[in-house]
Amino acid sequence: MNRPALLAPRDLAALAAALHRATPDSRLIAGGTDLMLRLRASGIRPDLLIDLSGLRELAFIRKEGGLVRIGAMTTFAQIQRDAMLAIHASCLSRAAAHVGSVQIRNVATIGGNVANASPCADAMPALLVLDASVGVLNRAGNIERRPLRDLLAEAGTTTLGTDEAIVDFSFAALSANQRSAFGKFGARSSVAVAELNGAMIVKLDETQRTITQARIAFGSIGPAAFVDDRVAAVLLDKPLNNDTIESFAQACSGMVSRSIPHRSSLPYKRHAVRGLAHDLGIAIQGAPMGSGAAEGFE
Amino acid sequence: MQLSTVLNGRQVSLDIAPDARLIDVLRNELELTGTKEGCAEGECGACTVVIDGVAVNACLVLAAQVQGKSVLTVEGLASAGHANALQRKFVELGAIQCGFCTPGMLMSATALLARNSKPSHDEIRRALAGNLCRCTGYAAIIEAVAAAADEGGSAQ
Repeated sequence: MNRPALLAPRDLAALAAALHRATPDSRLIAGGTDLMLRLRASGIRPDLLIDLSGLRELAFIRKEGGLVRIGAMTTFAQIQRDAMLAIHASCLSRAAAHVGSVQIRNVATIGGNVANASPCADAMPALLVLDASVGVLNRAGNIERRPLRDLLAEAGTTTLGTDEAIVDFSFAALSANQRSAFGKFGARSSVAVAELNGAMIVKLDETQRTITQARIAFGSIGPAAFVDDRVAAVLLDKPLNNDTIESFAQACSGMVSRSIPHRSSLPYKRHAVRGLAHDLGIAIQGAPMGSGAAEGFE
Repeated sequence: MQLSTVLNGRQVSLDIAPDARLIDVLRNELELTGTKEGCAEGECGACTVVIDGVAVNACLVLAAQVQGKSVLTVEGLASAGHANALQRKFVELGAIQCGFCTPGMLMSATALLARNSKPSHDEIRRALAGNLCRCTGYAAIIEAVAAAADEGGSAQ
């Protein structure tokens, strides 16, 4: 049996050198929670595995001025626990808390989640509404910044080259007038793969009453997560209240019909997305769970 | 490739395949069959082991990634043939039915108690959310973890 070669770079220079040897059959392995399954299920035998777990310099969460930076090898457990992110990127904090189980969050990384590019990856809608840019290392050892949306391709693939690796994510910290939320709809309350997920950021005017900006992203609807401006437009110049959230929920339903018109899951998802919209609405209003319009389902 | 790791407190070094899963190395190479393989996809938690203090699914971890780390399996809980406090509480309170999930439950609980010596029932539930018990003996399992915490955690 052909066994892959294994390289375990300890710094970025060694990673760049390892990328020199990568072919289309090679794989980068971060936490491994997706890749280990994919390798077994597909029967693919990579010619080279590049183990990123020794790159300690890529496990960090920092705020530099108004900018948040997160290293690609930061685990979801670290993101979930980080007090700064809970304030300045709460949608990402909440998304991290909804990834898999304790065991998965302890090893699964934000870089791996994006590179694996599952349509239902929980970090994806959160990073999209935060308008994150991605630091990509190439084999020459240079780091280039690209908008996250430019990385997304078909389900399970990215536009990253075989000789490139994600090193970090960067986005503007949320300001005092902004609020964000993450929502997820799955078969059970935890340890579930998302059947729908989404994140939103709204900006309120000084009186904290009227929505002046809104950005919404969804996952698990079609091949890749996406930002939807038509749904966001429904919220503009509206008060942040239950009536607005109800029109938002209706707009989400229309968005699902537009996005996956021929999928067998359409009738289910266009209804279920209303529940997701109400969850997002409740979270963004900061209302305690279970109050107000808590039920998304008639 | 050569893997060197601290396993249940003892330094071990052995030759492994570069793409081997940790669970296969534990069970097949090291004959530590206490760690169980249930779903093989990170859903059931039967294969939970503790690496550098945190619970992980051994079925999803590349064995090569524990190079230089410390791995604790269920075999490492007892000392000199004596079950530790957590294991004793599982036995005393009937937290074991068919027993297949027990090693994973014990390891998730061990990681929890190591960082939170007095967890609430809610914290115990959350820590065990990645461990399934097909016998549905959850109530007794949660009680056993709480009782072990009352007795000073998993200290041996």
